[in-house]
Amino acid sequence: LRGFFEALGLGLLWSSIAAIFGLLQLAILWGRPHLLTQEKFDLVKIVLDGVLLFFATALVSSVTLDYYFTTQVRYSKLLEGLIVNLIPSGIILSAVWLYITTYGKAHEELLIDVLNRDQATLVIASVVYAWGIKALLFFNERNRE
Amino acid sequence: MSRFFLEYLPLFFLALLPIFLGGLIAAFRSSIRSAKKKRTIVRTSIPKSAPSHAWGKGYHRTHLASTGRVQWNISRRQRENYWRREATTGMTLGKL
Repeated sequence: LRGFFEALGLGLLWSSIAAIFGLLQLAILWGRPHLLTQEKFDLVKIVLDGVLLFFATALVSSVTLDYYFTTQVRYSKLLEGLIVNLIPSGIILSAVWLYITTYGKAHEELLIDVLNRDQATLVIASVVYAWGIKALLFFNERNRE
Repeated sequence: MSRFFLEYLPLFFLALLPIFLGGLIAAFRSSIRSAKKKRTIVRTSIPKSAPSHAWGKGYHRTHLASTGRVQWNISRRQRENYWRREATTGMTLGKL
């Protein structure tokens, strides 16, 4: 059990660091806007730009590829299909779809609240996914030693 | 379609969460099982080089494959007796 909790901790640390560095620009803008620019932090602009979707896609695809290229322990087809095919496909396809359907539309046409909620969902889902899969990879790696 | 998708996206991921957690728990259990299997006894018999007094008296040792550690699955009294005898007679069970 100790190894399990250690792996969970490492997975959380990995995904937190990835999220911190992946969203560093936004964090700086949000925390200290006057340091680099006079512009105020505008969440609507961030949501319309869709940068959170790119972050979610990059995080999920990197973790999934990491799993496929490094794992030594193979699971059943059903299990692998669920945790490393279905979930990342869901996140990536949703992010791509969301970006494509809202790209280029006028500000008034978009439901900003709904978009905001959807993007937050995708970011949270990708961080949770990265946490779980990295914990599993760390756990297998430690057991192999 | 697009509007429906946008509205229900969080619910869709909320529905995926138990599937993901269930799959992850199953994967961890499978990993723990395979790790345990790796640590199963691969050698329980005394090597041929062991002195005759050790045969059939429970001086079995086990070898843990993952760590390379040797364990004696005999009682402390038996083990002390063995080491005492080894110290006085100079006989050893040999190396694994």
